[in-house]
This record gives sequence, C-alpha cells and structure tokens, in this order.
Amino acid sequence: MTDRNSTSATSSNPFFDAWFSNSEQLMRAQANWFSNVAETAQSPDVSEVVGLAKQHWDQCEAQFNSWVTASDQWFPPGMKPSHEKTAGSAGESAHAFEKLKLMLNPATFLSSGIDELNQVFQRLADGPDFADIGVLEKKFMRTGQDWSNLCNANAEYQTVIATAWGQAFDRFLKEEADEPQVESIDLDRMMQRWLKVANESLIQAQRSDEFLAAQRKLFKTNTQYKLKQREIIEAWCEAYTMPTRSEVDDLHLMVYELRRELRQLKKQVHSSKNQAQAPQPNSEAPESGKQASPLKAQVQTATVITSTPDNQGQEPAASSPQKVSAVKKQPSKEHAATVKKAVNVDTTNNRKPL
Amino acid sequence: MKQSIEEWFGPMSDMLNFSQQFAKGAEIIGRVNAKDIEVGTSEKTLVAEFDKVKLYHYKTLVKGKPKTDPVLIVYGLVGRYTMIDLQEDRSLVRNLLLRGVDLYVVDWGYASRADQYLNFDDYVAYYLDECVDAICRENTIDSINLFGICEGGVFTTLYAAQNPEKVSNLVISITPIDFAADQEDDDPSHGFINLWMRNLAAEDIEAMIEAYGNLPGEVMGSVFQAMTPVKSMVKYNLDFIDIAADDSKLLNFLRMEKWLADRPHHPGAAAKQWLIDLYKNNLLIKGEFVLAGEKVNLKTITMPVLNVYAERDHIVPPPCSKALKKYVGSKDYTELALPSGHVGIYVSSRLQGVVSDNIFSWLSKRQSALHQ
Repeated sequence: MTDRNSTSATSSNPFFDAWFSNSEQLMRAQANWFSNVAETAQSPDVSEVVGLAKQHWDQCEAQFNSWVTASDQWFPPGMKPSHEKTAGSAGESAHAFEKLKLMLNPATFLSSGIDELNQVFQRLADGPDFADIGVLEKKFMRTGQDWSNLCNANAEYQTVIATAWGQAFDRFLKEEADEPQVESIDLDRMMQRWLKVANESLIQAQRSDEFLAAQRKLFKTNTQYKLKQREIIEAWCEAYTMPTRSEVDDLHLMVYELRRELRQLKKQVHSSKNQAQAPQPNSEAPESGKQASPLKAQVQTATVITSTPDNQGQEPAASSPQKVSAVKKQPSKEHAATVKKAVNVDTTNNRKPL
Repeated sequence: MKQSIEEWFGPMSDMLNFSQQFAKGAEIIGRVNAKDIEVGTSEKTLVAEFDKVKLYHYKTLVKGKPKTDPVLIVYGLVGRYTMIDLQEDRSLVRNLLLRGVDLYVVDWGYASRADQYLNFDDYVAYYLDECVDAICRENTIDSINLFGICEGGVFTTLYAAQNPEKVSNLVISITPIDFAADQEDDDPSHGFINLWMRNLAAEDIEAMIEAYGNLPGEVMGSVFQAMTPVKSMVKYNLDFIDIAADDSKLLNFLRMEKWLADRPHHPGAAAKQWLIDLYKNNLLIKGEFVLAGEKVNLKTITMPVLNVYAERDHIVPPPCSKALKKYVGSKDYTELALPSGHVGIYVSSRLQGVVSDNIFSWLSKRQSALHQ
C-alpha cells in the first residue's frame, strides 16, 4: 500500500526535475497578473485592495506549494507504479502527476478563460507600445484616479478568482481525504476530480454576486479609463493640429448618414420612374374595387426592370412554377407595402449602389 | 536492480514519449501552410455587393436542377459564416449542396470603426432585403427560403416578420428569441452572456461601445472563453498534447482555432441593439423592438418555420430558442433538437449530415411543385 505520508528520502531524477522546473516556469510566465500587481502596487494611488489581492494569491500559491512538496514525497521521482497498471505505468504516473500539478497550480486559473476578459480589457486599454510614442501620456494616465480605479477593479476581480481556486482546492482535498484508502493512487481519477471540482467552482463563482459586482466594476472602470485616455490623446492631437478620434468619428457619421440619404433618394427616383412606366388605369383596368391591380402591375414592372445579365439564359419566367406561384399570389395589405419596397429597389447597379 | 532501472527509465521513457508527441505536433504545425487550414472553401460566385456586404451563390454539387427553391444562409455579426463550411468533411454547406439545395450565403464582411453606426435597420431592412431581392431577381421569383444562424437567426426572424411575403420558409438555428429564458435552464453553465448582460448597466454598455467604436471581437472572444473556464484551461496543454499526435485531429483543431480567431468587430450601433435592446431589455418578445421605424410583431410570421436548437447549447440556452413557438403566427412550426453544443451542431463529426438531412427533408415537403 502506498503511504501518502511517507517521508522517505527520494533520489533526484534530472529529467523529471528539469521537466517540473520548466512547467513551473511556464505557468509562472503565464501568470502575468503577479507582475501587474507588483507594478501597480508601486503606484501611490493604488489602494490596499491590490495588496490584499496579492496576499490572497500568495496564500493560494503557498497552499499549492505545500501540497506539491507533500505530494512529491508521495510520488518520489522513481514513482511507485500503480497496482492496477501494467508495464510502463511508472512513466504514465509521472506524466499524469505532472499534468495534475500543472492543472492544480493556481496560476492556471489565471491563464484560463475566467481571466481572459480581464486580460483583453487590459490589452485594449493599454494598447501596443511603439517605441516612445505615447509613453508620456501612458505614464501620465497611470498617475490618475481612473488608472487607480482600474487597478482596484482588476484586483477585486482577481480576488474572486483566487477565492474560487481556494474553495475548489479545499473541496478537492476534502473529497480526496474522504475517499477510502486504496491500493494505489489513481492519478487520472484525481485529475478528473480536480477538473470537475474546478469547473463547478468556477461556474458557481461566475454566477455569484461577488463576481457580478467585480465584473461590473471592471467593465465600468476599464471604459472610464479608455475614455479618459482618449480625452488626453485628443488634447495632445489638438495641440499639434492633428485630427482627433472624435473628428474622424464625426466624419464617419456624416458619411453614414449621407449614404442612407443617398439610398433613399435612389429609391425615390426609381419609384418615380417605375410609376411613370407602369400602365395607367384605363379601359383595360380590372373591375373597380380590386385594389390589388395597380400593385400587380408594379410587380410585373419590377420583374421586367430587374432583369439583369445574371439571369439571362435561364428558363423563361413563364415556365417556372415559382413564377406562376408568384403571379397567383393574392396581394395583401402587407404585401402592398412590400411590393412598393421591392419596386423601389435600386436596380440600375445592384453590385455597388453607393 | 531491474525495478530500479524501470523506475529510472520509466519516467525517462514517458518524458521521451511526451517530447516526441510534442515534437510531432510541432513538426506538423511547422509544415502546415495557410492552404492546409483554409476554411470556407466550397466554390461560390459573387452575385451582388453592397458596401462591405457580399452575396454569394454556391456552386451546385449535383447534376440537373436544384431540388429546392433558393435558400439564403444568414450568419450573425458575432463570428464569420465560414463556421458552416469549416472543412470538406465538416461542412453544412457541402452537405446541403450534396442534397441538391440551391444555396446562397451573405458575408457581412469585417466592420471597422467606419462602420460603427450601422444598426439593425441597415443589416436587416437594407442589406438583407437587397440580398433577398437580388436572389428573387436572379431566379425570377418573389420569395425565397431564409436560414438564419445565431444572431443571423434573429436577423431572419425580424425580416420574416416585416416581409412575410418574401419568405417562403423560415429556418433558424441556435437563435435566441426570448433573451431572459436562460433563467428557465437548470444547467448553471448555460446562459452566461444573458446573465452578464443583465448585470451591466445600459449606460456602461453604451460607454464601452463609445470608447471602442465597435464591440471589439476580442471582447466577445474572451466572453466565450470565460463561459467554459475549465475547457479553456486545458485546451492548449492537456487537450493539445493529445490532439498533436494525430495529423487529422491537429488540422481540424487548427481550422477551428482559425475560425475562432477570425472574430470581426461587431458594429457599434448594432451591438447596442443586440446587447441592450435584446439581451438586456428583451424587447423582441415584448413586441417593442423597432426595425425601420416599426415595432416588430412576431405574429406576422405566418410561413412555415423550422427551429433547430442544440440541447447542450451554453451560449444560447434551449429555452431562449424554443420560445419562438409561443410568439410566431405560423401554424406550421417544427422544432428540431440536436444532442450537441452551440457550434457542435455544425462542426461535430457525429452530427455531420444530420442537420442537412433534416433541413432538406423539411424543406422538400414545403417546396413548389417544381421540386417535388
């Protein structure tokens, strides 16, 4: 039976150690939040929230590290193979244990989807660095209240994730402890248990009031920071007589409105043309009281007008049951409106109306 | 002594296998070029173009006349339509073409900040209307079949409600109609977008779109990742190592990643309507959503309706889709529930052919005499 509390000395396996070390480094590299916290903590305007969040994550990391230390003793580098496993199981166990450690690492929570929104906001808010362009403005921004608010919101958001990891880890350890002692440790089962617990914990966290409040705050502070950033950049642009974002947006709006106006005018022009070409009510007109007739005439006119090179060479319309069906259709009140719309469609150049 | 060697070489052998697996994946990735992971490759021709919007007609894959009236596929603005034509053996487009469906698709293009003022009026009452008219002209008909997917399903629903005589049959899939019905779904992993949008203040959503001009594609991408936290956590390590060992799986994975990364910005004005009017305020089922100056009444949808939804859809929970039944005026309403997730309907190897078979079969019974 494997003794989980065994403290027997272990021999060092250089490959195992190197791999473990690399994994740790990889996860640490992904956990950019730690460096962000360190950076923002230097800002005099950042409140205690950031420090508390860091403490929270430090505790998570310490909890994880103590588990790793203990489990390293359960699974010495030589790896006691599981009784259920067959040849090569030592290697499989080592592999599975590495994966388990990788997944249990709190830093993995930060590289998972839950923090993705936060990271995207950070990237969008900060934007890329191009040499020295905008460095002064960025520094200036980071001394402001908006930056401080964003850092605090970020820290609160991260604290919710840290809490979720802590709860998941506690539950995982409890469930493991409650498991009756077995002949060997099934690492795959442990991994599946952890992923299940982690998933449920994160899903629950993402529905919690704390998370929703943190998310709302992060969203709001990010937007405020971005808008403030724009204000400063625009002031800079104006000082150097460069077009501002707002001015360009005004132009876009103007072009957009002109395009819409142009569409309307084109429709009106074609509507007038179609009405002029449509047969006038005369002796050939259907019996009075049938309001559908002028509309049907418009349909026919529209059909003729809308012949394009694209449909040349196709079967004559008359032979098409679809066409027959179309003609047979009784125009309704709604149809009238639609037909009017169809007749108004720009048909002179449907590939590039504007 | 033998045990000792095993103890030493077991982990070494495993590390070696792991490294070999990783190296193989890296080697495959190294020789993969853009052409190997092209998506949306089914042959098609440009029929019409309106600003950035393009209407394509797919080349038929069967001899003789099409077996259905024209079907226009309308995808949303949140992702790219190429999801329905990911690769040859995972392609809704190809499966429909092989069954003889006369297929068109609208490509909304990539919105830039210059497109930030485009709203639902532009997309539905103008661009979609132009596409429908172009298809009608090309085929000398006065109505077509519409097939909307996700947000595109909302577009087609709105269009069908305001232009019932131009829509012969309406097919929608994985489409939210009642944006608050996620609360009827017992699965806590379902409906995070609905929950999170209700959580945000309308003025904060407006301010965000004001700040960025559009709804950035990156933001929506990150929201989708956050909805499946553990899946996102294992995707690029545990899952990837398994995938990397198999050429075919790796290429599938890369194509899917390519589609996921190809996430356009959602035009700002339309995004405000999508997130505030629909997700937050649920105006569609209240009969208060305004399109082209008129309130949209779903009761005017009287043509046959096929509503396809995914039973494990975490993005659009099934109750949000199924709600359509309560609001449409159609007496010919059919639901098709598939045992899958949101995108799985179209990219799952298990369901290949199932969606197209059902849509084709449903459409065939409702086509004009020409196709029966």
